[in-house]
Amino acid sequence: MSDQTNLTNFSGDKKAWPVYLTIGNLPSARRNSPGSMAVLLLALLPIPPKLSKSSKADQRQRKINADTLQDVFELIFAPLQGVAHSGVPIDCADGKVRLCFPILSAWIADHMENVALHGLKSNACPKCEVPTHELGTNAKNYRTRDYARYQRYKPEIQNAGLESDDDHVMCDNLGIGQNIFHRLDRVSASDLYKPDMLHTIYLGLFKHMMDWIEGFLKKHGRLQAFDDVWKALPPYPGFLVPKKAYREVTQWQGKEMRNLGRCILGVLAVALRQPGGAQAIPFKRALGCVRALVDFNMMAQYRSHTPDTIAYMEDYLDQFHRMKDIFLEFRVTKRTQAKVDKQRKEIRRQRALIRERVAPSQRRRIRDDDRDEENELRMDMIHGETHFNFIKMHLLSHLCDHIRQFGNIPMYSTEIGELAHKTQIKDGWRQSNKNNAVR
Amino acid sequence: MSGAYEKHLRTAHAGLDIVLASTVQYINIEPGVLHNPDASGRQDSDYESDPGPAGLESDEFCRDISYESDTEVLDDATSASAGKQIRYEGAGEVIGDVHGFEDEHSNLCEDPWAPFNSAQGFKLASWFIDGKVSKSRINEYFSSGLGNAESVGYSSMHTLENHLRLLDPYSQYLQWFEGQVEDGQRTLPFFYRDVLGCVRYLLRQIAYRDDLVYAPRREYDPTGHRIYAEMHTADWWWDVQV
Repeated sequence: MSDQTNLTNFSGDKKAWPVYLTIGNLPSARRNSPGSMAVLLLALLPIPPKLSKSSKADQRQRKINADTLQDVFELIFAPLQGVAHSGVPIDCADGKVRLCFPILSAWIADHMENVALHGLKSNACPKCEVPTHELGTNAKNYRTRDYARYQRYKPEIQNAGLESDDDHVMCDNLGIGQNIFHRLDRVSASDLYKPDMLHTIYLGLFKHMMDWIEGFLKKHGRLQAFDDVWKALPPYPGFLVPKKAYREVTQWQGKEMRNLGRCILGVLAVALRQPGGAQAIPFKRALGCVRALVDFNMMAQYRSHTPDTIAYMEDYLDQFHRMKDIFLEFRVTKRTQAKVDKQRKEIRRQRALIRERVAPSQRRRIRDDDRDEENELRMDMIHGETHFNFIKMHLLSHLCDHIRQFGNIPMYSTEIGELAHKTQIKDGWRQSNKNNAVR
Repeated sequence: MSGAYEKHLRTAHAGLDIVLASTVQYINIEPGVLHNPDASGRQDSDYESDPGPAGLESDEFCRDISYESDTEVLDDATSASAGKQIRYEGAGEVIGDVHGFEDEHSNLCEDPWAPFNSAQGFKLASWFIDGKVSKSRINEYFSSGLGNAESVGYSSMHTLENHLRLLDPYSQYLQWFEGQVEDGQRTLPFFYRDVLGCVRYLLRQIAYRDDLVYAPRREYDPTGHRIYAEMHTADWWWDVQV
């Protein structure tokens, strides 16, 4: 037996923080279809108060919030404690009684909620101890987080500095508060995190990828071609015809992103047709990179996997990581850009001083050399300063292991919780008199 | 709070109507029971309507590995098409019968519309709730003589609510509790249900009877490759099973 909890925020003026529960015994198609009512509202929690301006009061409030959350969850999950070891007889739908061991196995939430509940900083992985500067690599051999151990170290962090390097890596990224799950029986807190298709892939990496592609197209003067192809997509079973050019859409939903995943590769391939001499290689690499990500995403949607399909997924992810550098220059932050500009100005000023004596006939050749040198310097700087170290990049590396452990990915998507909102909260809310904020 | 809770319960019941209807349909299949099978059928909707090859493939798998929960013996015909299956020995063991289950079952067969006294009564109630008709409008419906109270079995919102309350026999599992939380500035109430109760409730739903999986197993495709699909086919459940 296992059960599975699902937590999401309910936004709007009147807020609630619902926690849902469902069981893993039901096949996912049944469990996740809203009509079958298999997702129960387990609790409605108050939203913690907003943090105040002053940082000291802020710190104190954070601590209070974390402690409160811990208490509340301990209260809610208290009935599971002994039962996870000894089992409890439960009447089953087929008229038989079985000894059941309900164990919390998954916590489906978006990344920000996960890190808050696990007591981590926002760019930390809830599953393993990956250092921040390696988030963008595809390495997998980080130590699994051991939350019970963090608890023991906690007092020491506050009191004294850390001794060994090992401890330092471990406590890097630990936030305020503690993992609220670490005391649950037979629950491994690091396993509770579940990959989330909606936020990591559709709204995460796809969104980033589109930014890169946009930059890439702009650099190579293909932006107009891309928009033209995008709007000219013919209807085909399985995808929606986009009504607007890509840049005209301001809000993207998961569903639209999924559709984008289906047609982006074709559109891009057409937009990048007939490359000029020097463009051939970057175009090929860009297409390869996008293809790897789209393929990976498609495989991740599979409802059932064999070792072969998992190997394919790992392959695609590798490919993506190998080729992503083509887009590196479009990850440039404003700060880096400013630095680059400053550097260029400086060089030009120095050159102007030196080159005043040069004969006009030679100037043209030198100018070309200068431009090459400038570009090189710029690329160097960008490569030094820019990186792919953001959390969603890293979370992809857990997908394959997750399939082996917990089965297919789509059934753990946060979309389920958002569907449950509709039936369980919003409908009830609409029928109520909207005065009594707590239900 | 209690009013809103009632409302929540009512929306929950709107869904339960469907669940009950599917139960009725399930029971119709059983021999010896004669009933018109026009009860609204169960919709096996896949939550992600992805028509790509992935979706098709998974649907096939679902069909292949469908498993009779009450026979406890794997059908050779189904397992052959899906390859080999290894089951965890002794998992999902039956330790007894649910008290009164037979009675409940036969009651459902004899009187599938209970607590409503007719299909018409049930359908009208479903229509009221699915259409989100307000209480006063429902009362108006009856007071103006539009409805035939005798044939549907209730004559006002009040009596309808009584029926609805009886509709879910396991609602005692879903009791709400109230707690207080001190957040440093004010004291806030919060509401929660018993986790174990929720689990009991879900496992007890007859509507899920054919879908519930009680034990982990390992599945292999005809070429001998492991299949990872639903939760019970992956490693975690196998590893935590005692």
